[in-house]
Amino acid sequence: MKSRLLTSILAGVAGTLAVASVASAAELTVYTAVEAEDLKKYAAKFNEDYPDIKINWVRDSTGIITAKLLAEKNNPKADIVWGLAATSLMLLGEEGMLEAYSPKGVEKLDPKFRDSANPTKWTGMDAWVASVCYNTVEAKKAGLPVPTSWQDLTKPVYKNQVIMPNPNSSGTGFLDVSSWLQLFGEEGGWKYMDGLHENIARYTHSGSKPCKLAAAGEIPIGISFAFRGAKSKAKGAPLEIIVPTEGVGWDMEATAIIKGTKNLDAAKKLADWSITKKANEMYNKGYAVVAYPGVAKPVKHFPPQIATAMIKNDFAWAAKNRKAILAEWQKRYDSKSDPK
Amino acid sequence: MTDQTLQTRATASAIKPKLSRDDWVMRAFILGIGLWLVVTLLLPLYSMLSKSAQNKDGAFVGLANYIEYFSTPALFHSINNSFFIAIVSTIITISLASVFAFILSRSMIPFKGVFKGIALLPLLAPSLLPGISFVYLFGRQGVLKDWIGDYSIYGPIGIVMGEVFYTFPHALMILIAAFSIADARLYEATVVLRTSRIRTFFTVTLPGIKYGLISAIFVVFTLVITDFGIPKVIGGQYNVLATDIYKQVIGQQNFEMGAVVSVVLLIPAILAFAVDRFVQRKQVAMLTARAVPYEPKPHALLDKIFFVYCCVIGLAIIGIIGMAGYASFVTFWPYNLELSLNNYDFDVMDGGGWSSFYNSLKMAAYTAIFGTVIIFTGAYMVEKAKGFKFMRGIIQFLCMIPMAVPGMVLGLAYIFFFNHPDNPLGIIYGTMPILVIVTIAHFYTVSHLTAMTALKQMDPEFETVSASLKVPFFRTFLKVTVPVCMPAILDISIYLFVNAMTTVSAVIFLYSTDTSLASIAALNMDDAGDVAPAAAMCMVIVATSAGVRVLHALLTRGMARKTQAWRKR
Amino acid sequence: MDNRGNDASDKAYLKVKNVTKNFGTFTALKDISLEVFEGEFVCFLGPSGCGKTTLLRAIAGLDIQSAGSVSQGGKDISNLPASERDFGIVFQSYALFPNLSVADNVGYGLVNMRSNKADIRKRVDELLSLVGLNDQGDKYPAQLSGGQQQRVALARALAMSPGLLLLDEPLSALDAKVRVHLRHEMKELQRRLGVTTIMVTHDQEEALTMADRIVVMKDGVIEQVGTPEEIYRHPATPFVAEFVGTMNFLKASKGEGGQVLLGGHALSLSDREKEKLNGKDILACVRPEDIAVRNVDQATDNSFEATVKELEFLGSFCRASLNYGDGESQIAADFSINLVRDKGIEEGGTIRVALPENRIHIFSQG
Repeated sequence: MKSRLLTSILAGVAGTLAVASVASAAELTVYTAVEAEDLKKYAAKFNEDYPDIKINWVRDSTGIITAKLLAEKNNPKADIVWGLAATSLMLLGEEGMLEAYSPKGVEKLDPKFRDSANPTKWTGMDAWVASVCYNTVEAKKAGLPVPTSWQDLTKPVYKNQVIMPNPNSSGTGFLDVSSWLQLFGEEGGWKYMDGLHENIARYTHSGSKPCKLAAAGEIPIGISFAFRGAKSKAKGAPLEIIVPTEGVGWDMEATAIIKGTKNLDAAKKLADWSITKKANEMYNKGYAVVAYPGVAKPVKHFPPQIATAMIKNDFAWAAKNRKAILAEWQKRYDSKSDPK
Repeated sequence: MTDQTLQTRATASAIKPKLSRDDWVMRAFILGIGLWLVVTLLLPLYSMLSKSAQNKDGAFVGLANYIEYFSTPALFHSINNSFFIAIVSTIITISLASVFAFILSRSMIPFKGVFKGIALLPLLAPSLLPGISFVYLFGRQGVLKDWIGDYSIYGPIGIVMGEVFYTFPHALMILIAAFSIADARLYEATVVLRTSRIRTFFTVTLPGIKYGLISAIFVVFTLVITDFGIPKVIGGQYNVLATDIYKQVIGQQNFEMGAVVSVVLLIPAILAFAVDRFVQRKQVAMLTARAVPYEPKPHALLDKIFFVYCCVIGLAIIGIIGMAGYASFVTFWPYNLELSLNNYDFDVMDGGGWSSFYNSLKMAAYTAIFGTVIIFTGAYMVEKAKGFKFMRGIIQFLCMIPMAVPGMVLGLAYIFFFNHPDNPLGIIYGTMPILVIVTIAHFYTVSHLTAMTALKQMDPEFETVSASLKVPFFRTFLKVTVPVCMPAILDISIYLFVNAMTTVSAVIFLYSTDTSLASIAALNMDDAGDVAPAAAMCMVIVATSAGVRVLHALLTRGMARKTQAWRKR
Repeated sequence: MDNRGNDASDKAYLKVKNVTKNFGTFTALKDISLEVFEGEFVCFLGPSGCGKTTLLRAIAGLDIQSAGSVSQGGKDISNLPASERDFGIVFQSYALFPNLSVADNVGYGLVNMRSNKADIRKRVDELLSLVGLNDQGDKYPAQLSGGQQQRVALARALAMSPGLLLLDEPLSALDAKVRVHLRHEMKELQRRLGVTTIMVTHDQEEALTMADRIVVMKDGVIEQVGTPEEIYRHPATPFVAEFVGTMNFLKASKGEGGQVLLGGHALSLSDREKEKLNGKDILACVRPEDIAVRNVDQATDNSFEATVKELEFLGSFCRASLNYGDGESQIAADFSINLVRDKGIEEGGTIRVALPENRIHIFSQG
């Protein structure tokens, strides 16, 4: 009813404008949340093998790219997603937005790193693992001991010395919360977060910000992810990247074709390439854990034990309960932010 | 006699005036402007309203979303927070700005022009700049962190301080205008009657600026309650309505709830706007009275106190901008204070890189050019067309709406409207044109009012004379109206340019990777924890806005000498 | 209403027939009919709000009448927009384009008509010399005096050689001396060019000195149309009598044999006034300057004794307030300074005044 009204009003206005943009088969609109500085490299590597497929990147943070994809659900602009949190892709999958397609060689990937459905709707690239960024200089000033476990962080000594991402806006935040719920059980998990909440100075919108704030000394401890910590450490920040002993939550960057793309063939070629050994070697430049078994080499500043500390993450459970978890989290912690 | 009258009455038939070509053209233009406003303003807002009454699948659910909203404490607490911040910020800003305006218009302190210039500097910066600056001033590693003791800058304190910085020039301009319409004769009367200075202040000064004061209060209130940049950067855990919209939409992809919060935010904004309009109408009536301008007299002690006051405020403003500037050159705060340009290497940061700055320049230029043409032409047609009263009234009303619509709300409304699959205009979604269009719509009202003021000062008979000389109106428009109104036209374009450079709120939902903007890049860099590069980007924006302003000043001066020679006797 | 015979209406250049103009529920013009002849200078005179400007704007097509017709030069222009009519117009504000030079202002309409620049230049020079501003073409309007600006506006209005020149209070923004001077100049120019002209004014002196015919209006209705002489000497209504010049309105009653009784004095009337003697309330009107002084013992026709209550010195003459009849009734009379001296008129004195028969106007109501 409403849409018909809109159409009739606008048909006249835009009659001449309504020329659908038809992209040539050799161009792909790729949505991604991969770090800006890596994009050129990724495209160049891909073009070594497929020089006639041009990649037009649409890059933004995980939350925004997910929001964009959802907003465009009825009118998708993306051909393929290359490098977005798997949980986000699962969300899109539930909305029926993903094309079921098993890329060539998908069976070679670690089963953890691919959709269990056949044909697969998404395939993993690399893991993106939670860790704690610990500023040694600031911690020393404040007289803080080095925490070794998640439980350590609930100790009163850390009051107002910890920052973590808001799981409602940050994928990293959500993987932390879902990992604690899996590690400590439903009840224990929430009890843990109640304790942690007492020590949290504030929740940030983005997942990398806690680590960057720790790197800048704005806070001694930032709950973030290892990749970010390694990068900041490389820049000279006095950071220690701590992998809590209980194990760490993780998510992966993954690839999926958007249903209804006009460039399905080219999209399939990119999906195929994205799981090749060559691609995984490329991912390994920044990420210590990648989807292709046997490829990973240690990454500088990355805590070496991290691959073993990764919990057995039940993505399906996390995706299914995402809404309920976030609502509960919001009820418990977001409403406490009244004026002090 | 009576019979004759009846007879003549009967023969006199009603006249249907034939419309001239000018009339047709003007009406076509008016319809065009009307259509423009309907498409870029009314329909998007309608989409948003209807979205707030729909569930995820687009089915109508009545007030269900609102009920959910008000039963979620985390959400509706933000209403309290927003009002608290807005009221406190308004009180502080108005107090500080009233005294400042009073000093600038009623005292004999030196360097008034310099102080005024400094006080207006915040207009050149995106609203996130004070937030970023406060991180470096009062954050954990802040140079002045002792000043706020154990309190955290991340929260209401930081937001209020930032809002005061951001709204100060807006309040100041209104208040200076209010002070400058004072009637010197009233003050002469108080001297003759030996009234004390204090009594004079309460019986003459305060009533004189009453309307300006009320107007300033509501303008500041609206700016604060709808601002997004400052609470985003420095709000910490303190949620306000504007950041809630962002969280709902960007963080949780909950568009329906975003629409609900938008509607909630729209209400105080519209109320404040309505009061402001009402008051301004009264102020205009006061302005028309003939008054003798007040000439301040020196007062040794008071002038000294006033001078110190202005210095403090001026230094605070410069300090805030300067801190962000300094921090942007520090290599790695606080561990490596060596100065470098590393933070200006935007291409290796998230957020869009240098291309976002060029996009901003492009967007601001397009907005200034197309916006000025559309708005000024529209105002001209509405003001000068004959007949067609109803349409003109409607357009006049539509032109006022943007003032009451927060940028976030407008941006969200644009998503709903332009990204609707059935909307053929959807092809502009995610492109530069939609950013230009939303920015024009967002800043329409002030530009329109500026144009109207200039046009009302034109002799209403220019068009009549042209018609009698058989000259089409558009020739007179181009040869006379535009040149005579050139100062106002330049004011409008510069206003649009600077606002397009600094705005975050409306465009945050609408940019795409290709069309990221400098202000958004700054926001996203700050979001990702790259605070220093965000400061650097803010400084680039400030420098650009300032540069354009200087250019504008030079241009105006040069033009005054050349083409506006006729103004001088 | 038109006081010329029907035979003349064939030659009328501008015909306004039964024109009515409503603004919402307010009627600004009520069934106005009027004819203006080729080459004539007509003034619309009346107080503000009488509809004179509305009528002018209807004739110009700026605010087209609600009903009725207007024709110009035999062509029905009732519903034509201003741009399709043939007139030049000068406003009170002059509406000179401030950013264009005087020459560009004058030549503004010519640019559209003629392609040749030299032709335009020639015509502009011609017009400027016509209004006596030969060497001012390069100046901007703001650099000219008010009177000069007015002349530029006039030159611009005449540039296209319009069939009709409309002047909307063209002199009221000027100071008194300039106004008197320009009045004469404009009239002279109009006569020379022979352009049919309509001027709106609220200034009776302006109307009396400049117009060939005056149209006196009140409340959207024409009260009287006539030459200045007619309007002044034979006002058709008490309103006209009062609005144009100064007039004594004296309560009177009908006497014997076509006479009027004024404070017990029977006064004779001219034949045309005699006919108006009917109804209960009769007003006998006489202008102060028409009152003559006779010797006290000289009981001539239409004279009676009166006491000088007050004598007000007004420069070139004195205005006397006289009591007559029962001693309550008052009448104002203007006497020259010489007369006052010669006759020894002073406050408290008694004089004999005469109201000349052909100077008394009768208005009666009911």
